[in-house]
Amino acid sequence: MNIEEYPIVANNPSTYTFVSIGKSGNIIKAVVFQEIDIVLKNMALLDYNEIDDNWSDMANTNNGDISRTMKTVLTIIIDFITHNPSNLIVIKGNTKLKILLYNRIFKNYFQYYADYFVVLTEGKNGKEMATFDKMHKVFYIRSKESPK
Amino acid sequence: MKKPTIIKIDKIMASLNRYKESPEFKAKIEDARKAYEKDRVWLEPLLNAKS
Repeated sequence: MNIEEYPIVANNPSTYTFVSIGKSGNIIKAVVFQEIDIVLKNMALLDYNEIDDNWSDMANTNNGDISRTMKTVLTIIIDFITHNPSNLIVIKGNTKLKILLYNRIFKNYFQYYADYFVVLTEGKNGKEMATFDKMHKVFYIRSKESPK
Repeated sequence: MKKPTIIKIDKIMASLNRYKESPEFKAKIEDARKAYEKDRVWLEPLLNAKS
């Protein structure tokens, strides 16, 4: 996976931002880990709209840089889970594009993240590792170092 | 000459903090919590299993 991730700013322990650079211009994105409970954190990938000064997780920016964005998101997840190994991250795809994106990320870039975390989905026979034999809408991520 | 991109980080972070407090975003957190409640039947044995 030779694609270089975008420079990432860790704004605080649960919020990261980066700038996607592509055919639609420069788009500020944020990855937010929001607390559901002391262990469970929801991860959201958000886009900033400069015109109305607001954020959305529904945008389809179509910036032509999906691979670089995916690598950046994975790098952020690795950083977060490394610093919070007891956390369980839930990622729920809320649009068709996001569902496709997350399935592609976790299926295609296994080698990049496998040393850091495991992806759990509801699969055949209760398999722990996501098999991606079908499209998943919800993913759970735990650290490889997760305490038992 | 191409116009430079100037990122006003304070403004953007204030906007992000407002969004995090919005009913829209809180509804998504609740949605994720409900998904977890539904999935914990198969998830918890995996979490307790060895890697």
